[in-house]
Amino acid sequence: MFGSENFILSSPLMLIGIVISVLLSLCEHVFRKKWIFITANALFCAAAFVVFLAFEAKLSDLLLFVLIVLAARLGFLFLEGRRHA
Amino acid sequence: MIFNSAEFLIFYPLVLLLYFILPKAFKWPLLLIASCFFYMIWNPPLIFLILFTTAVSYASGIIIERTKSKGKRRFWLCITLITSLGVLFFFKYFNFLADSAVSLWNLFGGHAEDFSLDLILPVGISFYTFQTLSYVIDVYRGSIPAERHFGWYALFVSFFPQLVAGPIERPENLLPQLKEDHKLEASNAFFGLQKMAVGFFKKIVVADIIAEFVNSVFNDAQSATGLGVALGAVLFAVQIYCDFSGYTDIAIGCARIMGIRLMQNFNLPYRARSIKEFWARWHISLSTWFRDYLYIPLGGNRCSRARNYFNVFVVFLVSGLWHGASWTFVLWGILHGVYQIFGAITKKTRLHLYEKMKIRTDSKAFAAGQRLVTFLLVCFAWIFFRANSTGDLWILLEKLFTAWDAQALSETLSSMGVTITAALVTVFAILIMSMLDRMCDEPRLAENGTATKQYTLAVVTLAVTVAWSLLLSVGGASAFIYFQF
Repeated sequence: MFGSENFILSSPLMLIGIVISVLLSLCEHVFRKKWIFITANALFCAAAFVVFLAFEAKLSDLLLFVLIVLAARLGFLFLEGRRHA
Repeated sequence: MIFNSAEFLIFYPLVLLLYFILPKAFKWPLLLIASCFFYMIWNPPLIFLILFTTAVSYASGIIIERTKSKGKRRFWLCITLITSLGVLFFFKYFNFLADSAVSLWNLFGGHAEDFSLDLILPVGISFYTFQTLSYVIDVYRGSIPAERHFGWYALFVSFFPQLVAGPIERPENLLPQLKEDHKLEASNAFFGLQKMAVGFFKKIVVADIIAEFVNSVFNDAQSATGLGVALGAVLFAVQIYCDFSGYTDIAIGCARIMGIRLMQNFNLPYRARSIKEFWARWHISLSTWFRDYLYIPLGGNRCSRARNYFNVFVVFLVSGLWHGASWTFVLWGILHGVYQIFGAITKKTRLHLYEKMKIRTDSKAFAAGQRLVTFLLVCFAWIFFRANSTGDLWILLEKLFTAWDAQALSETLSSMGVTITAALVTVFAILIMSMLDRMCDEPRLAENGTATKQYTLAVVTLAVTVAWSLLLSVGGASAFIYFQF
């Protein structure tokens, strides 16, 4: 299931993609117009997928990207939930 | 049919659509037919086994209720217990007992021939047998009236979301709900879909990924290192939780969309501060079943201390045996019993020690320490549960305590197939799973209202969809661990 290490270690693309997506999630958490940032994040992630695949990323690399982005989103949701509580 | 399969993706929406379209009188036949179909996908003839167990318990309930004589009521209860448990023992334990008897005989110099049979273990037999027994015992006790409608009772036994791996439902909870006319409600649909999404995430993204690493340790005990066994045990703890609670989440979600509320089966078990608390949070439907139908009838804790310890020991011995026809499961159950007894015996001493050492038992650090110790004890016991045989078990335990080498870390990780990507995927998957578990139970949803409602479903569903499609492209759907019980 898990392929080579090359993509994560040799290319900064995924790291850049993760940072941008996390920043968009942060903006969603901080600012009021959430749907703009959700949409932007979704479009960005879709574009990132295409770029990663073009650079021969493995399926496991894409899964890792999705999980990190999801972890960030849920982390902010978690904080928001605690704030409401 | 398993939940994480293409067949279920077609089956369930179709059943759901028909359920909400059809009038009330046709709902239970639809669900009953669907449940039979769901089960028969594995092995069609085995439906007759469920039918037999259903018919026996149905008839016994009515006879017991009609009979005034206490002796006759007890007689019919015994007949039901012997019949239902007899079927369970035959299919599940006959070969285990046969092999054990042969081994024991040969150990003393005999030359017994193997007389085990070529039996298929019916999926879910332990679950539906216990469910029918709880019904008959409750009727015997007068807690519930006997169900006169065979169709509703058969549906109670075979209701497909919980048929093969629980939760083990109580008749007073499930039967009345099956008789109601449920309409599609947004809150039920939202909660149900969310629960299913979380369940699929736990199973497909967490459990199935971790399984690869765990299998590399436990399927080749000879090659394992101490670190590998330790890591394998911790990962298996996560795997089995995600696998089993994931199944339960899907079952609860499926039923909830239909308006039926199944009981909670897990409550963040690895946050337990003692083994006793662990069992109040893990497989709750089974532990409460044993409490109500075995532990309390044996005397519970309303007896001498020695008798109480004996009762605890028996319950966990039986619990281990329930999980599987193997000495490793029996030893696992006994170990948990020993944990509890030891905990009870040393409780006063430990409290006295904490007082002497001026340790604040109400502090967060103390609670964290208790959780860590409990988790480690549970992980150690999981080695017994996961070991493929008693031979492998002794090898793994020996490796755990002797085969440590500081330089073997990279070798161990490499032999387990743990690459950087795999490690990161596992870590983030577990992190997400623990956040979802804490966020997505009903009380928290009610508290957090808008934020959670608006975003979690979409986010989790998207993630599951993406993850599922990614993972299915590299491997097929795998069965749930608890199907073997």
